[in-house]
Parts: sequence; C-alpha cells; structure tokens
Amino acid sequence: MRLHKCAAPYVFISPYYVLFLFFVLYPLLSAFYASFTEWNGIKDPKWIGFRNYSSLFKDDIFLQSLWNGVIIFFMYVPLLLFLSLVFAVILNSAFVRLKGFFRAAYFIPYITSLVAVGFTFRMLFGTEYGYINELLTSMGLAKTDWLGTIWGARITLAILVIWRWLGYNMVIMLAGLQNIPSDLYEAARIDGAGPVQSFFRITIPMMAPIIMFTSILSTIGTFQLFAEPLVLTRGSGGPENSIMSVIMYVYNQSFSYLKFGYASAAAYVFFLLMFVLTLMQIRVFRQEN
Amino acid sequence: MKAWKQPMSLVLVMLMGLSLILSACGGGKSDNASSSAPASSPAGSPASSSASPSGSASAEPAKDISGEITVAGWDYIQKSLSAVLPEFNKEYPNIKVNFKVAPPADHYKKLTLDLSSGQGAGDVVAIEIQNLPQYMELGALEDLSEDINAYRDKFNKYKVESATLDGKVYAMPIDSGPVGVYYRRDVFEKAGLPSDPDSVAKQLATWDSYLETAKIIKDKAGVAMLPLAGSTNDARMFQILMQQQGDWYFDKNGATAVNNDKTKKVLTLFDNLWKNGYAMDVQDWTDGWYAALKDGKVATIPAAVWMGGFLKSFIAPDTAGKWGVVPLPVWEQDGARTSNDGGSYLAIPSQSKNKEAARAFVNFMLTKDASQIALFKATDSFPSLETTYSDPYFAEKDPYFADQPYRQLFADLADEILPVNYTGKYSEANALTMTELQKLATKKQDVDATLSAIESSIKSKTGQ
Repeated sequence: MRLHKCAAPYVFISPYYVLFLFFVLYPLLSAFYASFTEWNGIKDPKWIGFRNYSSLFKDDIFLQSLWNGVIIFFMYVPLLLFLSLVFAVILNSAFVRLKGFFRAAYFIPYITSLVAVGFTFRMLFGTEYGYINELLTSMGLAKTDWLGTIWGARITLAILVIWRWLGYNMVIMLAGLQNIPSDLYEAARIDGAGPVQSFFRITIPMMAPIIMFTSILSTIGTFQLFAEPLVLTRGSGGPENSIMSVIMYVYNQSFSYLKFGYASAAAYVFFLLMFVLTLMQIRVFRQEN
Repeated sequence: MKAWKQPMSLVLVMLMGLSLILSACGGGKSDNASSSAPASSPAGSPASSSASPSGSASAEPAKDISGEITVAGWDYIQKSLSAVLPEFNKEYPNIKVNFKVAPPADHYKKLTLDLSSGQGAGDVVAIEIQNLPQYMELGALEDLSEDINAYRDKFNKYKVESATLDGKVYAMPIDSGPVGVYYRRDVFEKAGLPSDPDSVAKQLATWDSYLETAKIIKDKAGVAMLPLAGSTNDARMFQILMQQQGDWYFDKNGATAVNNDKTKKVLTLFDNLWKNGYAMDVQDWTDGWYAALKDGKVATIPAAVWMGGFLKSFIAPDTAGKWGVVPLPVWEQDGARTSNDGGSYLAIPSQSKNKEAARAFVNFMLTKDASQIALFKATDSFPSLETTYSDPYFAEKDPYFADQPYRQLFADLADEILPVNYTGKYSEANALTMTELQKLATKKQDVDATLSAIESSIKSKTGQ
C-alpha cells in the first residue's frame, strides 16, 4: 500500500485534529445552534431565532460584566506587564543570586490551588479580622471594607490577579530576554548608556513581540477571568455584581439557571468582541514597529 | 504575517480562538421522554394514584432486595444518613449503600449534568427545598406519589406541597427549617429587659416591637439587634420574612408577584434597621459574623432550628446558658409566627438502575419515626414527620439554652409554615434580588424604587 507522498505529514498531525473535531469543533457548532434556541439542557431545544441575542443587548448584568472587564483591564494589565518585565530583567541580570529559587517562588502562585487562594485572600482582606486591615490600623490608618464595597472588591481582585499571574508572565518575558544578543548591551555600555537607558532603548524595543504576545494573552485573560472572582466572592460576583466577569455570567446562566441557549449566545457575542479586540491589538503593535 | 491575507487560515484562527473562549455543552437529544403530564389537577391536590386508600403501608418492599445504591449529596447528608445505616442494613442486609459527596454548589452542577447526560446521577439524590423545583421541571426524577401517600398527612404540609408538580410528588422530605429568634439573655439583661423566653416573646411579639426593642438594645447595651449584611446582602433574611407572610417572588402559577404590600413591609423594616444602625453590617458565615455571635455583639439572630446546633457545636460553644429562643415576631394579628429556612429532600433520578433498593432506602430513612428521631439526634436534622413531635426528645431541657426545651418550641411552630412557590427560576430571582437589596442598604435607592426594581428585573430576566 502506497500512501500519497503528501499524506504522511497529515497522518502525523491528525491526532490533534481528530480530537479538535470531536471535542472542540462539534461543541462549538452545537453551541452556535443552541444560541438560537431556548434550552434547559434536558428537554428538546425550542427554536427562537435571534431572541437570545436581542435580549442580551438589553441585559444590564451582561453589559455590566463586559464593563467590569474593561475597568479591571486598565486597573491591572499595564501594571502587570510592566512589573513582570522589570522582575524578569532583574532576575536575568548577572548580580542576582539564587535565580532558580526566585523564578520558582514567583511561579508558585500560578500553580497554587485556587480554592486555597480564595480562602487566603478572603482572610487577608476580611473587613473585621483581615490581616491587611490589622496592618492598616496598627499603622494608624482607617480600615477598608475590601470585599464589601464596589471599588474595594475591584482592587482586591486586581491584587489577586497580579499576584497570581506575575510569575507566569515573567517566565515568558525571561524567555524573550534570553534572545536579545548581549553585544547590543555591550555596545550601548561603550557608548555610555546607563542601565535605565539600556532598558528603555534596547530591552523594550527588542521585547516588543513578546510584550504584544503577553498583552493579547492578558486581554483575553482579563475578560475571561472566572475562577478568581468566583472564589473571592463565593460565586456572588461581588457587591452589586462589581466583579462579575463575562465567563462567570455565562457559567451562572448555564449551570445555575439552566439557560443553555442564552448562555451560548452570550459566549458567542463575547467571542466576537474578543476577536475584534485582538485584531486591533495586532494592528496597533504592527504600526509601532 | 501574510497569513492574515488567506481566508482559510483566518477561519482556522477564528476556530482556535473560539476554542479558547467557549467551552460549550454539546448534548444531543436525550432519550428520556419528558413527563409533561397534563396540568389538569392543580398543584397540591391529592394525586389520583392507584395505591391502596386504606393508608396501610402501601407496597412495603420485600426484605430480600439486593444490590448497590449510590446516594449523592453533601457531607452533612452523608453524616446524617450514616447514623441510621446500621439499622437499615439490619432490615435490608443485601443492599450496599455508597455515598458520593461534594459541596452543595458542586453537587448541584454535577447533578444537572448527570441528569442531562442520562447517567451518573446515582440512585438517591439529596436536594434542598429551594433547588428542587428546577429538577422537578426537568422531568428527570421518579414519581414518588405512591410512596408518600400513606404519610401525606403526617409530613409538614408545606414540605409536601413544595415537592409537588402537576399533582405528582417527586421527593420525600428529610428535614424542615422552622425559624425563630435566637437571643442573648445576657444582652437583654444588660439593657434592663427581662430575659426569660416568655417575657422576651412578649417583648418581641410584633416586628414593630422588635424595632422598638432594637432601639433599647442599642441605647442601653450598646450592641446591634441582629447581623444583617448591607453591601454583601444575600437576600436570605428577606426571603424568610416574605415566606413568613406567605409572600414570595412568584405566585401559585409561577408569575412574578413580588411587588405588593407584604414585600414592602419587609423592605421598610430592613431600611429602618440599616438607617438607625440597629443592624450589624456583616456577611453570614464570615469571621466577623462568628465573632459577633460569640461575643454578644448582636442581641438576636432570626434563624432556623438548625442554627441551634451550629451555635452549640462550632460557632459559640463557650456561651452555653446565655441563649434563649422565641417565635418570630408577627406582622399582623394571628400571622404565622415562623417561616422556613433550608431543609432538604431525597429524590430518585429516573435513570437509576436499582429503583427498588433506592425506594426501600428512602422509605426506611424518612417515613419511620425511629429513623427520623435517630437522624435528629445524630445531626440536628429537624424531622418533617409530625408524628415524631410527641417523642420525649423534643421536650428535653437543653442546658445550652438555659434549660429551655427549645426543640419543643420549633415543633409547636412547624405546622404554621406557609408554602411558597419557588419555581425553577428561584436561584436567578434570588441573585437579582441580592443586588437590589445591596443598593437599598447603601442608600442608592429607596424602598419603593427597590421594590419595583426587584419586580422588573425578575420579570425581564426570568420571563415569568
């Protein structure tokens, strides 16, 4: 039996695509169909055309969850990327010892069980007995109702997300730093540039593609935040839904309220928004280079 | 990146993007015919079943049933039912019972998926009263009308009613949650008020006098009247006080009916409690809440019978002798002096492969006085079976409550609980209401605005 000479590579990549077909493409298409129906998960779906989509745009909680994504994005993404780059540069420099230890230490939050993280953060940021407030009062400052106010909850969430994702982004940045030829830095040093100048004139431009990559990941990640607000608010979405994320909303609509059709529609609208946003980001970065 | 120019790769990238974002639940048509019985008999009317009308134990299952059954619930359910398991196995030596335990939230998510995929739900499932209608409406639970018929008048009426859909009963009651007011005797004394249950019951006879007492407590004892979260309110107390008046989000037919005077009274009371600083703004089940109950920072807490067990065992074991219990204050003359909070059922999924053994288990655990009393003694699970209320255990004096026979109080109140129509939309209505109550607490809207906002959001989101 002779295979066509071009068939071999397709055979080699087929495992992924077969799985993709069954576990990704089929669910995607059936969710697309479901988004035009009213469906509780058991009884037969009822075709209702675009009604799910039209009620979505009138759904204040859905719009609020999108808006929450925008707010939290500006609250932490620029800071997170900047911090992870700075930490990566420091860990990449010659004078730091115990590099392995620090890299592991910063990465650990990312792999810590979220249930434990949520529990710990609720303890840290408790109003009456939280450690953060104890610290504030011992310094003579006022207590803050972290999880009980709209902005308090948002700040707490931003801190949690930065804490959790810093190491992850740092590792990606580190990999990028390894690829910058060291003779660039040497040439700069001979020309009299200090470390700060080198950072802004060499490191950041050379890292542009990596920064773009991490920023796209963080953008999608921000709007997709799910486990973090869930564990922080025990599923409620915070005071007046202030940290309800889109995915959390989709999850509630489907698995708590059994509105699978509506949830599918919300997910598709969300996907299109993300897709447009990512395209725009790629555009922006390409123009800069 | 030239790739963007090629439509095919664009489609592929889109698909991959989608796969990043969506995780859909693609389920084919399930093949269990949905039992949509014609709604000819109104809810609550006795089902016209073919069971023997004499009330003699209908269809007592044979003792030689054998097989394995899986009971799915949360850890409390396992702890509770395990207490009676040895007795059950004496009667049915060939039935092996396994437990599948998860925290309630996970248990329900999993149950939903198992019922929709047609496998994995187990043979017996525990479901709380507020979650039951959602599963009844899915049509994936076994009809237990015949099993419950002989006991229909012995269970709390509201429990049977809440498990009835189109004249059929789909679950057997485990426990009830009659509500009273737990109060701190020492705080009442500090405020110069009498502290024995009879006097406190008079002192807190109506919600108006409860408010007046709150002022005395605040002025004289310097503590809050009750814990009632503001910006993190979970609507639980709100629901207790609605149900006390037979008022609810939905009426008998499932239509939104929350905008009425009874609901307005509850909101007005909340508004007064928050405005005057009578309520302690602390979320249930948090450190601050536990500490408030332990240290007497709140004078009362309106709560269900199971709160007594919680206070005793882990919230405030050191405060023995300082607590008392009285009925709920009423809204009007001759109104119900209690409400309901929590309580569960056992149901049998239609997909069970061993229904006979599952039925034997459910009947043994829940329809026998001895089993119900054993559950009660083991885990404070307050029986829904009224025939147990004459048991001497109810009249026992409890040192934690300064020798008040507190179980008796709840047994006397249990038949006053009014049924409400949760409907399958309950959890969404609850979440929407939380937000509006939080806005009331933080003075973003007044009582009237809150009332109409609750109504309009429930109407538009649930379509009921």
